[in-house]
Amino acid sequence: MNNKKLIEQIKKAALKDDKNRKDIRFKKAMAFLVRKGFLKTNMNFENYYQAKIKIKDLIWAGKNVEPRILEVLPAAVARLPRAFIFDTTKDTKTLQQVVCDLNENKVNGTGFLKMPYEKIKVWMNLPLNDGRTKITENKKIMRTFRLKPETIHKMELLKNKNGTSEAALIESLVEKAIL
Amino acid sequence: MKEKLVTVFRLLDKQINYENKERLIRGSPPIAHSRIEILGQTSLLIQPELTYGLSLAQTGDLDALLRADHFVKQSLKKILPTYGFMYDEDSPLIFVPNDSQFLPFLNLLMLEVVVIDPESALVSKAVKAPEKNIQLIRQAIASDEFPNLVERIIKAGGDLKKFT
Repeated sequence: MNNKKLIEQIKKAALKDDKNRKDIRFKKAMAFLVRKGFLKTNMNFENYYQAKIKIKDLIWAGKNVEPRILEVLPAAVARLPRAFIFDTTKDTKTLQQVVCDLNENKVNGTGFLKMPYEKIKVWMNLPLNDGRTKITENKKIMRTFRLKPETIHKMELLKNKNGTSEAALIESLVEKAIL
Repeated sequence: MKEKLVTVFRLLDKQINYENKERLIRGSPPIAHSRIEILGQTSLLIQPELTYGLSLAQTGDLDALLRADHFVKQSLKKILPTYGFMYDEDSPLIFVPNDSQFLPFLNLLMLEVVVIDPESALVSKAVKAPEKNIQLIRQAIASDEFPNLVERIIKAGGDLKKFT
């Protein structure tokens, strides 16, 4: 096939892309991700913002209009889980697996719709526009220890003396030990 | 977006100046003048007068070649997240096509910031990351705003069939 024919086909596909850009699913997806700080754009989607958004709409927009939506979607779901409406499609199930890996801060995890995990994971550490959600690096991780009663007693004494929590006490002792 | 990046680079320039003053007191060699070359999607978004026909979306990735001292690189990486950006560590691997032009963005005391011309940024994307940029490249070709785009994509080893 010669280049002229290929260009004609590309232009035809571009017309379909233009139509997809006008789709409400794309507009809602962009409005949400831009407002939250996951994406930047030269278009204005402010009027289409909704606090809750369907996962399937975001996936459609990522597959059909803007692949970068798929790159940031897992981190968005992991960090703002209450903002999404889930469904039972195969892609959503894969997404939930990626989100589990992100929440566990795994080094190597599941990719999402051709987006490699290491590219997805980066967005867990991006400060968001509302400044409320903590980045992964600052999130506390739950640990359980079995300690001797006398150690617990000493911890209580130190905690009261320093006016801190037990977690803060352990953190400061670890920091001192490393220095 | 453009304003945020200007703030980032002005802040970086101030930090270099401050560090050089400290080094002067310590008797250490000062940091040399640096050059930052902005590539990728950011380059398209910060040149709206040349890319108005394109529908652009970007993650917080900043793709840039840092021709700079280690101190400058580290300082930039620390400043960026506050402004919603992350430096892409794979930036040095980005394909810069032949005949690319770098246009001035900011000229500061210790820092020169330049940006790749939009057509070259599009060629780079079409050749090295066609899947992620399929709709963008189609739109750019259909717009006829970039007269040498198709020819340069083919010349650089790109495959037009990937955009049909």
